[in-house]
Amino acid sequence: MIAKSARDDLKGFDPKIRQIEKEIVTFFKEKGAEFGGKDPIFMTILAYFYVRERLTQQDLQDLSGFSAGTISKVLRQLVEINVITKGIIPRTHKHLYTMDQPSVVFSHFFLPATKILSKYEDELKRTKAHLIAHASEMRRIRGFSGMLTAVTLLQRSVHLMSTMIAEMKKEAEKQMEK
Amino acid sequence: MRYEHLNAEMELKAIEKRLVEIIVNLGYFKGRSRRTSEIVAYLYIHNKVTQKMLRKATGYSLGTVSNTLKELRQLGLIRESRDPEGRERVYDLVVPPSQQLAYYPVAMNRYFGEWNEFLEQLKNKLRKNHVAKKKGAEEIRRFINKMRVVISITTDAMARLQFTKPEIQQEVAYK
Repeated sequence: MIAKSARDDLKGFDPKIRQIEKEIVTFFKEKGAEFGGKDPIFMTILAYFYVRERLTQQDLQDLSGFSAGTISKVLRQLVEINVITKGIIPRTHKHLYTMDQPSVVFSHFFLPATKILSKYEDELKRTKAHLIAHASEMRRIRGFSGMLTAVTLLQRSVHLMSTMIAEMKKEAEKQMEK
Repeated sequence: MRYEHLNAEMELKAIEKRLVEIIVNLGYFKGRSRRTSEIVAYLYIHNKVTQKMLRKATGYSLGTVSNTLKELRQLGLIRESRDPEGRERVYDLVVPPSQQLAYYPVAMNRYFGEWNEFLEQLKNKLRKNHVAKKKGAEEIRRFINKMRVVISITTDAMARLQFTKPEIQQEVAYK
């Protein structure tokens, strides 16, 4: 006889495996917040995709206990940043969300991310140049030097992210070739 | 003269608004809500803020500001202190913007180190007889392999960055 928790679990994961999965979700959530300031709900949903790959909104509700609205918001974010794709389960109106292999996910994620970052980097460079050019008029305004520092630091951060993503793209391509 | 001053002040405000927008959009990749990212953005720009300042800048109610700050404290992103000259509570980022570039590679190394340990623990758990063939064990094995790919892509990229890009070495050394 199958235990109730296992029978109720999607894909019939064994309770012991389900416990391991919970540890994975907790690790994702806690470490994502600790090291990257990432949203815990977002990381929880992401963790379930890493383990189960294909999920419906209802599956995620059953697994995580979050409300339909909360899950819907995170799913929209994950689709928009190309981490998962949205499809339809044949002969139903249900949406099925899928996460591909990491190297494929990365290749989908990199191009739009690089475009956005490069746009911001250019904009921040121009803003910094503008602030420096008009420093004589603006210097007396409270907050000017803080703003110049913030623009400079943000531009450097965006540059670092952009360079990092370019390197990761190369590594992901290598992995795909293997 | 006054007119020029006003114009410059408005321009600075517009730049601040745009910076907030950029930080909000970058926060989207971290799964952060607009509200959370906006508060983080003002902390990034002004270093130290009070709840009243945030309410004025964002337009959110004091309750919303207070709850968001509480969430950010729980995440370990910000800290709270008392303004020595007043009675208000002051908030700042645990890792100040000026140190974030130096902090990032060190934090990432620690992050992936902890991941490797965790994956090793999972692998050992799956080796045990009573778990090895249970339903779902294959998915966990696949998960471990996937995470190893993610870690390898990221750490190799980081290593190459630090060795090959002088400007990044400079950023890492920046304090």
